[in-house]
Amino acid sequence: MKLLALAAVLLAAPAALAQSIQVDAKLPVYKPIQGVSGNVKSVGSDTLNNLMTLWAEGFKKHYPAVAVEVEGKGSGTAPPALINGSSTFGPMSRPMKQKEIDDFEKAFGYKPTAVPAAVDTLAVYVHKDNPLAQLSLDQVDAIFSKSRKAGYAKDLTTWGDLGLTGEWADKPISLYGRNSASGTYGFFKEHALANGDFKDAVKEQPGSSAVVQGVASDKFAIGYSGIGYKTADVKMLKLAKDAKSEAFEISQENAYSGKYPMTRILYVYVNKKPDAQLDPLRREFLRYVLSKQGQEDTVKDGFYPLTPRLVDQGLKAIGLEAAAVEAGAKQ
Amino acid sequence: MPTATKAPMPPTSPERLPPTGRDSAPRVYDAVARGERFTTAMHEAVLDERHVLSIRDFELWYGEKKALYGITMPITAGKITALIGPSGCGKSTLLRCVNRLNDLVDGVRIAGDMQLNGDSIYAKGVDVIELRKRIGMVFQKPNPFPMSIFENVVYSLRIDGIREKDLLHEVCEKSLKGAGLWDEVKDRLKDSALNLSGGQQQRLCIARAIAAEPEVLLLDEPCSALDPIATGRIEELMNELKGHYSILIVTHNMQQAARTSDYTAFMYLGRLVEYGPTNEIFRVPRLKETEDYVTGRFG
Amino acid sequence: MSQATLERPAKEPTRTRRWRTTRRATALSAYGEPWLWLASGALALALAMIAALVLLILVRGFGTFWPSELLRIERKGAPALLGEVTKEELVTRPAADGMPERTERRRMLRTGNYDLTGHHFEWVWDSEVEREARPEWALAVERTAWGRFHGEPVALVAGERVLAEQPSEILARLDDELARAIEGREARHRLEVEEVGAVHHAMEVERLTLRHLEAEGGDAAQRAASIERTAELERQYEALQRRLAELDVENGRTVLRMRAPDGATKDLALVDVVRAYPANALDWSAKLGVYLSRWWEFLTDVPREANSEGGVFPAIFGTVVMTLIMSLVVVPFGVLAALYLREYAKAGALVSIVRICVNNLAGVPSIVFGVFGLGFFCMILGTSIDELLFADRLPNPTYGKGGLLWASLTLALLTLPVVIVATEEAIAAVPNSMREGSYGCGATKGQTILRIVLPRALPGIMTGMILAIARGAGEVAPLMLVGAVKLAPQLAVDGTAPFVHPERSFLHLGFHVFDLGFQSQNSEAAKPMVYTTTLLLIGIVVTLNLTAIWIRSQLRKKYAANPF
Ligand SMILES: Nc1ncnc2c1ncn2[C@@H]1O[C@H](COP(=O)(O)OP(=O)(O)OP(=O)(O)O)[C@@H](O)[C@H]1O
Ligand SMILES: [Mg+2]
Repeated sequence: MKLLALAAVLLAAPAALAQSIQVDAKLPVYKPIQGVSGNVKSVGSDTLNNLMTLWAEGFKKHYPAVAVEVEGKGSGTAPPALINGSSTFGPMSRPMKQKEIDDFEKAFGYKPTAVPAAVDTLAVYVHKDNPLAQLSLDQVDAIFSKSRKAGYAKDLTTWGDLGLTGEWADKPISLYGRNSASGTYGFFKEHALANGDFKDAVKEQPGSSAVVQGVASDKFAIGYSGIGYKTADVKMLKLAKDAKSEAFEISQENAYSGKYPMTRILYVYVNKKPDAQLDPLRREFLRYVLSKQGQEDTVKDGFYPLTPRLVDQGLKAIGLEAAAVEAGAKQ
Repeated sequence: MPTATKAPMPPTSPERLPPTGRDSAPRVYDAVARGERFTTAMHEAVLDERHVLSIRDFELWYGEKKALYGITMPITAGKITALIGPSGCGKSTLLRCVNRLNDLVDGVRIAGDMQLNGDSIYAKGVDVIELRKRIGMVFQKPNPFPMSIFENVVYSLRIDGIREKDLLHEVCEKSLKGAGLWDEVKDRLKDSALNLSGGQQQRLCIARAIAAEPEVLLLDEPCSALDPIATGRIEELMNELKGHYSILIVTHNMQQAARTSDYTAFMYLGRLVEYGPTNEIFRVPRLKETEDYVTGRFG
Repeated sequence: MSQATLERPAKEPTRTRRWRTTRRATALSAYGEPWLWLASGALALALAMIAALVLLILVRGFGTFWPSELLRIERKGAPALLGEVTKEELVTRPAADGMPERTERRRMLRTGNYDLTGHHFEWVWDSEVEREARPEWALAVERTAWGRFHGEPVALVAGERVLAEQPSEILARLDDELARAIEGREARHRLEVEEVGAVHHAMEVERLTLRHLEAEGGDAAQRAASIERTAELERQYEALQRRLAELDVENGRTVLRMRAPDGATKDLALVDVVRAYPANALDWSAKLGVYLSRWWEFLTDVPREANSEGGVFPAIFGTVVMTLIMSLVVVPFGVLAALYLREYAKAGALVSIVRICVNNLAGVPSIVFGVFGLGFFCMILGTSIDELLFADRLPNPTYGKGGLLWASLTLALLTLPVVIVATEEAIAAVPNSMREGSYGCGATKGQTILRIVLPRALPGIMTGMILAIARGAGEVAPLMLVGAVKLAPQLAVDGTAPFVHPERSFLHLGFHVFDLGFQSQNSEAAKPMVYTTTLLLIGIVVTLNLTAIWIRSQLRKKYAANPF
């Protein structure tokens, strides 16, 4: 259900078909205003760690008097920090869980505000020399999960089980994944394993980049991580929703259209009173994130930029006028 | 230049000794071995003098082990008293009791009393710190402090909070001269005391002890680490100090005891065996054991 | 006496010889050699492993910044590439596409131009190569954003005017123009930091005054004056903003037009260029120049591009300051604790238990200390401090979060056992005769400890401190909980009152290594930086230790006994 809704939002954007990722020209260009200063502290997702830092660096170019501090130890650390007031932003690579929202509401009497900030796709990585080209989600489940909730018939433990021949046939599949505090872990568990349990053999890594490096150094490895962390030493597999459907590679178009199955939106959470305006500092920071410049930083960090529709959704969430789609309509 | 061999050798021939008391006394070692009581062979001469320190029926235990047995011993003022006796007989222990250094050892118990110029040392409420300032001590092994020569000498003044430079320098010079070290170190007072030679260190410790102008000076084998020349110098020093200070010295060197001391006490297994003027102890000891010991026939 | 000793050899040999001849064989183990071999072998192995590790770090760490040549590779059916060869391997490829099984070389190229291609690195098989060359004018450009750009210079353009079009000409003028651009960049930075910062600060002060006046219901005239002042500041601010914008335009006028290997042209504003060098035309000394300038940037600059580029100065600063504060805290505490245990506490079961606990504390995983630091220092202590002293800043925490002070205290706690144990040993090693000498002079216990025991134990205490520094400076895990962050905007010491801000978060080299190694988006490029940063961290720890060791040797000279 959620995925469908996401696909609907994403589909509205015209697909960009360049070799490098393009930011939609309709996104509002950020123009600084006056009187913005103060301290910003971000605590949350490590997937968004680099991106938050890039945004902070970009934002500071406009507002030298602003001090931004970025700390990223996992999405799970964002809600508590927002609740006890030790952070101004809570970047998260997954939506807040009901429990976290409840805790927040208990503390403030209203819900936290989620601002979409970037589009990420989870890629399934194999070593660059691996001849395998594609997998279906139920196969992914059978590789990573011991519960096999997606319904694949048998456990997949060797590359031969996936039809590879030669030296690959009898080699066991070596599994790499994230630690359980990360949003990536949760997202993959939910969307690839249908909330089943990971195998014990999964080597849990402390960072998204560590997964990719693990796969790069282990010829018979497979792992999942954000697309932003791809290196030349690994290969991303095409993924199909199920055994019968076509497999799609990761591209901006397929991510937006939802054809590639594991697409997610990365959020920045803020504490905003529903009827009150955000203070200028936080409002401007988020406006920067949702601007053309902010979304170029997103590209720089290897993620996909927001579509105009998502940008508008974000602007509305923080009580600003939608700018992207309308601007596009006017042109 | 004093030499170590100047003093006459103590007489060793038993024929020249008067027979008084020697054979009539119970065999001391047997008595001690059987745990019997015996009285110290005290020469009357010691009692005639003025006493700076008097030890009365003093006993001491290290935990369960008794180390001193009923020691009664007056120490003559302004004279040198030598403590002799085989190793482990309790000489150092007795010495350390005088300035209550044994308080620092865990499990030490005492009985009896000592008096310094009539003030009880072990009475309740005695200020030990004050007491120790009245008694100087030089240890068997030189123990200079990790600081400069100057600071070593004036240590006792420093801890009294004395800051006047002139006074400190005056005391330093006087004490070093007194210890016969001044000429050797007067140009390097700021150097670390630990770089001095062993003999120099020992004389430094003596200077440190006399800088506080104590009433009694306790010397625990001060020359055991020294060569004959340094030993001679220290003996000379003791001769100079005597009269002004009362000195109690432990020594294993019979000649030294005979040469330097006015009175000699012979201890054995925690008991005071014989105590009297040095020339009597060495020439006409009342006990055969004393004679054997001072003539080197002990054992 | 001497005669007796001389006589003995004359008498004894016969006996000795007979005894020796009856028992010829001596067990192997009776000789020292096998044990010697075993011990020295173990030592050699340990040393070899340490040496190998250090060597690896040294080679990789020092090698990172050396500029290499740019190779242009034209591929069949794919855009050409221009980049540094960073890796090379021989791979057996299975038979496919009509080709038999074969062993083939592939090379990894650091291509740069991420903004055009979406790749930082690419692998190239030898069979894909159509032509390769080292173009004379290939230029490697390091930028403030988007990483490197590799290409050939086409023109140097200032506004409408073309300054140079020949590569040689461009390069000849590039240095001057670049210097000017850097000047422009610095001018802008100064304007930002000094003037804009000052206005901002004044505005903030005014805002607080106004709020204060409103809260107290101060009289209208004062309030109006304050509002007027604010308006004036805002006008100043706007003027500054305009000047900044003008500067930006001015600075952005000069561009270096480059042709990417695939033929596309791209204009690089010189103001965004950190360094540009013709990689294939550099002689040895020019390479050294690039190398040193990169080191200089690394040591003195702030990080850029989410820590993957620029320098690590704030991290060096954070590491050193944190370690120093830690030492300042842990040494007095550890020494006092050890003094109590050794000199005051009555030896007994309780002291033994305390001592065992202290020793066990050293074995507690460091992350536990981090959790404690977070819970106690940040949450309990920090929050209370905030409520007492910084209530006006709430809900923004000042001390109620991780920071330099809390991190230092956490590490102090972590290294406390080391200092206690070392100090206890040092105190125990002070000869009792020295203590007795002091007591004999009539010193009290306090005087004895202060004047005799501590000075004498000082070298040993320094040893404890050295160990604590070595442990503390290399620790990362607990710091992640109590204040080491990825991006800290300001140093803990700066020009704004009160000049020292121990509550601020900080960057730490150890954390930086972790961040580069496990979090970096461009992990291939980050890997060499991991070695360089590690090298730096080791260098700092060694420097701190050498300083402490030097101080200790000075103290030893003063306090150690002369074994006459
Ligand atoms: N701290 C102590 N704890 C227990 N027993 C001790 C202690 N100090 C000394 N003793 C014991 O007390 C006895 C007397 O020792 P003391 O040091 O007084 O002998 P000494 O006459 O000075 O010997 P030496 O001539 O060898 O210096 C010895 O048996 C010794 O073992
Ligand atoms: Mg002794």
